[in-house]
Amino acid sequence: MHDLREFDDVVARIRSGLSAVHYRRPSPVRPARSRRALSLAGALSVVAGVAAFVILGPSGGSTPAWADQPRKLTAEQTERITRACTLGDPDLAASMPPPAVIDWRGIRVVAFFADEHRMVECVLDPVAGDNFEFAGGVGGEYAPSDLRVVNTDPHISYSAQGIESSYQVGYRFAVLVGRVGPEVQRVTVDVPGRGDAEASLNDGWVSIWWPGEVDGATLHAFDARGRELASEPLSLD
Amino acid sequence: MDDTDFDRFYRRTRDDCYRALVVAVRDPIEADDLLSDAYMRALGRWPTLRDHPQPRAWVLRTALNLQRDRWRRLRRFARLPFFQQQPSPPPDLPVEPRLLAALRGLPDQQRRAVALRVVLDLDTAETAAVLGVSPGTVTTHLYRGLTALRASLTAEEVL
Repeated sequence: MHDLREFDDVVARIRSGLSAVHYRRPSPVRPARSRRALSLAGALSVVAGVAAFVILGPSGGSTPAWADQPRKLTAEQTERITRACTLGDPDLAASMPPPAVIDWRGIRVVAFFADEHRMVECVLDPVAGDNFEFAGGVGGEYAPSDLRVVNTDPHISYSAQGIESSYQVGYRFAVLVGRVGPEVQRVTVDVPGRGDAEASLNDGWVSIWWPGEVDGATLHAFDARGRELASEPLSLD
Repeated sequence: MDDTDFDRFYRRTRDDCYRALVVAVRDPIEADDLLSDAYMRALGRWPTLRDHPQPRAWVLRTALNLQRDRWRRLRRFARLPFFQQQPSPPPDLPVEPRLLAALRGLPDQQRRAVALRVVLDLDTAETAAVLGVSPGTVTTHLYRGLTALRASLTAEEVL
């Protein structure tokens, strides 16, 4: 404490001045809220530039929270997702790259908008059928060159992030977007505790989300004949 | 894992860690998010972390590392329109405004040294370990920071 002694007055002022500040979040080991809780989707909270997500369990028993296969999208669903990601703002829509690949499974949609120069990620919560609520942007606009290249033959590059709900303490999920070479025709991610999950792949663009962490997951790339071309352990950006 | 043990640690340390983080990062909302992330990681590592000589320091270091990673990531997000919307105003903190302003006005390294050494009451070596600097550097930043704070608070009172 010798380095503080000559500042006793300031130290006391700081400590007493902060004494009424308390951390209000409940302990993470308390029981989670009901997974049947209704969606709070749409409550977007922008915190220091980071969107906070409303993370929810399924509102009914018919929709799984997550699946190892993505849903197949209709053109109308793609359009609805695009509209939801651009908040219905035509100017924003015009400024975005086109939808490259959309991963919809269970309670979450990860839409990846990309071209050769720009990329934008968007996370949505499906509500009431084919309606979507904007839950937040995981990523903003960046370039394919920002992706981490982990393999050159075939080309595999990705960005992976672990996200935690600001509302539901303890609910974490991982989002991966990436780019693969033309010889890659199928991408899976071995998710710890859940097994292989089929990533959404379109024209070399990849996206997938899964509950849990990025670390421990492994990406596998296959060619059209089902031969494994690469296997890459994943890690956070 | 002994959840009850972790829960006790959480309850005992959360306020001090939050106060230190509020000072270190300036934004109470960001501090709230970072601390939540850090405690979640602490929970996942609790079987080993419980034997750490200073688990509070581990939590703060993790939170500050998360902040660094977050800002690195945000640099590439800045151009996205919906990140340019006006953020929600930060909640009022029950802190004397001039003390808060004086703390927020310190340079980053001085503010972090004050947060860890004074608010969290880590010793100089622990503070140095968290910040990844030498103990001598901590002492220098602390001295400058506290000197500036004293001057700032005294000046306010004279006025």
